[in-house]
This record gives sequence, C-alpha cells and structure tokens, in this order.
Amino acid sequence: MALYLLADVGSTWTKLTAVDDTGSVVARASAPTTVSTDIMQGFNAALSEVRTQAGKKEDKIYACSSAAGGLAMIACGLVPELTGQAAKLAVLGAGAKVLRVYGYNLNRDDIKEIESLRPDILLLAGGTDGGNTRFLLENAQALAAKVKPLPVVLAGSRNAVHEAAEILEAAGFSVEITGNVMPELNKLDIEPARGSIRNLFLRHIVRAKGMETLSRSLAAPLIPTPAAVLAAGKLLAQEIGQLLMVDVGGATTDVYSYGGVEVPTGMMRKGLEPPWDMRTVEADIGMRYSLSSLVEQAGLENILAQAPQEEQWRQELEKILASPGRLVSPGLEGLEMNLARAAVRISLLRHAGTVERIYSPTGAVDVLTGKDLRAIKTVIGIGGVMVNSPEPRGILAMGNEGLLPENPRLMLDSKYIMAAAGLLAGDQPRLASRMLADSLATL
Amino acid sequence: MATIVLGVIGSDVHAIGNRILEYAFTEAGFKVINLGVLTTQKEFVQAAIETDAGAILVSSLYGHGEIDCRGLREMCIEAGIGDILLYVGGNLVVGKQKWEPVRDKFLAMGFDRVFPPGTMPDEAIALLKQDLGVS
Ligand code: B12
Repeated sequence: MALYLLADVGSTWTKLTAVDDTGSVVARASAPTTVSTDIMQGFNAALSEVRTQAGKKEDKIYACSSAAGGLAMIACGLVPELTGQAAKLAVLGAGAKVLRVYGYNLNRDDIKEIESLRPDILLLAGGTDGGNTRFLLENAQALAAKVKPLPVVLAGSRNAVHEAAEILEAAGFSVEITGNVMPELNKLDIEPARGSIRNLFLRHIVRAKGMETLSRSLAAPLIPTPAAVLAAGKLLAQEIGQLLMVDVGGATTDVYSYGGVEVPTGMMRKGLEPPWDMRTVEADIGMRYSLSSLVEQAGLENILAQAPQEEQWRQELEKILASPGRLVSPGLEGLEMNLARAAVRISLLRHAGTVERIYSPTGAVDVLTGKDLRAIKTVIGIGGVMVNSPEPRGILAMGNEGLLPENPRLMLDSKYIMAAAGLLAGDQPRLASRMLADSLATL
Repeated sequence: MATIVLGVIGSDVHAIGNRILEYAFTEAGFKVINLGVLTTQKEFVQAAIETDAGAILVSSLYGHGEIDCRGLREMCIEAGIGDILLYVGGNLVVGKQKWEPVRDKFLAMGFDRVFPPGTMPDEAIALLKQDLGVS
C-alpha cells in the first residue's frame, strides 16, 4: 500500500500528514519550523516521528510552505481599479502575500518603499493589449534604475512587455513575460500570471528561503500554502458546486470563493469581471496581531454586545491586545467567538460584491460590481479559531446580508486537512477528496 | 486603427443607440471599448487611460446630459489625458431647444464635437477620422 507524506512548512510549525491510498490519515506529526538554522532539522524531526507512527517509509512527499514570510509580493498596475486590481487578484490567486499595490507611475517614495520591503517577486502590469504602454515602460525604467535586481513577472500590455523585459534584464533582473492580467478592458485573465509566479517561486525563491534540499525530495513542486488551500477548494467545488471558504488567522483572514460570477437576470455588471476562483486576504482582520484593527472595524460595542459581564470582557480584550500570544481565559470563550464572528462577517462582505440600485422614471436598475455570492450553497470554516470553538456555527452563520450566501450549509474543516488535501489535488484527486470528505463536518 | 471609448453617461439606460454606434464604429475599423449604459465619468476616464484611447464618445439621451457631462474635460486633464478628443451626442437637453446654444454650452465644457439628435454614425465617423488624422 502506497504512503503519501504531505508537509506544510509553516512559519512556526512544520506539520506532516501521512495518508495511505484509501485516503485515510495514518499518521500526523509536527515539529517547530527551523528556518533560522536549516529547515530540514524541523522537517526531519517530524518525518521520523511520522514514519514511526506509520510503521513504514513514505513513497512520495508533497509540500507547501509559508515559512520565512511566505511568498511576499508587490503588484503594480496602471489604473488602481483596473490593472491594479487585476494584478492584485493574480498575486493573491498564486497564493502570495500582497505587500503593496501601486498604480500609475512609481514615484521616488514608491521606489524607496519597494527597496525597503524587498518583495520576493514583483508583478508588473499596466495597459490592455493594444492599450497604454507608457506607464509599464516608465515603471520598468524606474525599477531598473533604482531598485536592486529582483524577480519580476511582466503581465502588462503585450505591446510593451518585451521592451520592458529588456530594460529590466539589462539591469540584472530576472524576468518572466506572461499574458496580460487584463488583456481587454474589464476582462481578467490571471491564470498565465499565476503560472509565471509559480515558476519564479521555484527558480528563485525556494533556494533563497533555504528550502532547496526539501524541494529536491518532492514528487511535485513546492508551492505556497495558500496555493494548496486554493487547490483543495477548487477540487471540492468541482464535486459539490459553488462554495465559499473562510480562514480566520491571527494576523489575517483569508477568503476563497469558487463561483458567484454569473450576473443574475435583471442585473447589470460594471467594472472588472471577478475570477471564478478568487482569493482575498484581509490584512487588518485577525484574531491576535490584527486584533486592534478588527475591533475598530467591528465597533467595540458590537464585540461586547451580549457579554454577561461587559467589564470582564473589556478587560480580557485589553489583555489580549497587550499580549497577542495570550489564549482567552476559560469562561470567556464568548468573547473569542464574537471576535471571530466579526472577522468572518467583515472579510466576507469585503470579498463579496455590491449592488447599487439606480432609479429611473421607468423603474429600477440594479448594477452589480464584483461577485454575487447569494446562490452559493456551502460555506466552510477553516482554522484554529473555529476548530477550537465550542460553537463554530455561531461564528460562521451570517444573516442574509448584502450579496452573502443565502441560508448556506455550514461546514468545518475539523481536522485541518485543507492544505494537505490540496497538495494531492493535482496528482491524486480521489485521495484528496476522501481526505476532505473525512474532515468536513456539517454544522 | 485607433481605440475609442464609448458609453452612455450617468443614470441613462437608453441602450439601442449605443449598440448601433458600437457596430458602426467597429465596422469603420475602430477598436471600440464599449462601456454600455450607466457609465460614470470616472469609468470613461479610467478606460481611456488603460486602453490608450484616442477619443471618448459620450451619449446622453434622457435629458440630463448637461449635469452628467460637466467636469469631464477637467477630469481628463487631472488624469493626464487632457488632450483626448471628447465627442458627445444624443438628446442632450430636455425637450426641443434651439441647437446652437446647446452646442455652444457643450463646446464650452470642453467637448471637441457636439452632435444634434438623430445624427447618423457615418457623419461622426468621418469627422473622427479627420480629427485623428487616420483614413
Ligand atoms: C426606447 C426608449 C426608452 C426605453 C429605453 C430602452 C433601452 N434599454 O434602450 C425606456 C422605456 C427604458 C426609456 C426610458 C426613459 N426615457 Co426614453 N426613449 C426611448 C425612445 C422611444 C427611443 C430611443 C432609441 O432607442 N432610439 C433609437 C436609437 C438608435 O437612437 P438614439 O438613442 O437617439 O441614438 C442615435 C443618435 O442619437 C446618435 N447618438 C447617440 N449618442 C451619440 C453620441 C455621439 C458622440 C454621436 C456622434 C452620436 C450619438 O447615434 C445613435 C445611433 O444612430 C426615445 C424617443 C426617440 N424616438 O428617440 C425616448 C426618449 C429618449 N426617452 C426619453 C425619456 C424622457 C425617458 C425617461 C426619462 C422617462 C420616460 N418618459 O420614459 C426614461 C429614462 C430612463 C433612464 N434612466 O435612462 C425622452 C428624452 C427627452 C429628452 N432628452 O429631452 C425621449 C426622447 C422621448 C421623448 N420624446 O420624450 N426610454
């Protein structure tokens, strides 16, 4: 019987899951990630543990990583709502973290900021095919003149990418030319850019992050962890239909949707056509490191609403804000739940599109921007906050607000299997879906 | 051939003329970026920047053209495409008013050409080719 080993090299823990070829999890182990010395130390520690548990050696290893800062990128477009947004969606869709998005010409402050942020990869877009070429070329020039070489994905107007590549290559940048993220106005095409980001990640970033040895032992390319989660959701959506997943973390809340792109009859779409599989990341919405901005967005009074003893919750909140490592005190889980609920609500509303009703003497017209998630039937919660909550349903259940799903079935990734299953989604989709079925619990 | 941005401005939903214009200008060899009805000034300007359009063709049929079109030239100037050709046509004002004052009002707003109700696309196509210096 074959044994597959699925590794998630996280920022703090390296987690290994072994599954057999029926899709059952036969062993799990984790060890602290050892990014400061050699990533293999922590990996090997977890590996020997998992082999002992499984009683045999694995046949194939697959891995994803978010260690050493994950894949951190900068996106540049021309008009922020157009190629700027398209570039951002491409970067998020590749599983990367977006450090910044710039529009129009990069000025000296932007260049300085890029130099100090030192992204792993920069995605440079701008202009439709046959459209504007000036901004892409000028931005390539500005980068070439003032920024130390870095890997660049060129995903702008096809009439300028080759010239931009020459400018950057002459300055020592490694460049991959790819399809335009917005070949025609409001038409998104982010798949080619995602592919190129994966290529540059493997060619340049894996080594820089000390993961070359690990990478060589793998049956498939190492990918960023969010890319594995995206793949798991995609597989699931192909089986059960349109779905929405939300992962509430300490620093960010990630939302993944599959579907919600059709324009309902009687509505009219304006702006960019959203991608079928879309990932957004709310960097100011999280349970610990982004707690103060979460509370600010949600409103303190809403967080403290229904508190049996408001003062007690208020004090607890202050303690958590002061030391983000802190676990919520026993008996006050309701506070944690309210915070998580707010994180889910805010992040889903930002992920969803909006409808604006325009009245005319002959009746109303509904103008849709972004995704209409109302017809989505399944919402899945991911992450420790929900798995450890006594009442995950209370975190995920939303009112029928805006364009959020209407009365969906709520599910929980009860065994933290998303990333691991995503690693097998390409090579062994049958096993991956069994792993998912086994972990997903209807709430 | 040149790229043009086309759309019906403001809260106007008259779609038929817009489709005819798209068809006619495409047939005449232009690359037409049609934003359709209910188009805001900002959408016109952003589309023109991203696609490097040579002209913006604005339609207004429902009588609120004056309010909707005011400030479009200024917005283009702000956005760095102050030189772009701006055309406007349709039923620009409420009811049947004398044409010359209407035309002059829109010219003063910064439109390069203003077309009276019922203008045939061919007339505008010929003038646009002339203004852009293409044949
Ligand atoms: C069909 C119609 C509607 C339909 C539109 C359906 C749709 N989805 O398109 C509905 C019922 C929704 C409608 C609603 C309204 N309508 Co209406 N509608 C008409 C009608 C009968 C025909 C319009 C049409 O399609 N014409 C055919 C096309 C091919 O012509 P066109 O639109 O004029 O466009 C051509 C030219 O003008 C020119 N052109 C247009 N734009 C530009 C721009 C440039 C740069 C150039 C070069 C040329 C150019 O080229 C086009 C192609 O040849 C006209 C009356 C009429 N006979 O024109 C009234 C009319 C336009 N409507 C009118 C009004 C007032 C309204 C309403 C406000 C209320 C009402 N009374 O019904 C609402 C407004 C809704 C809104 N928010 O926009 C008035 C406008 C009056 C004014 N400007 O002073 C008109 C003129 C009727 C009238 N005589 O009162 N309407």
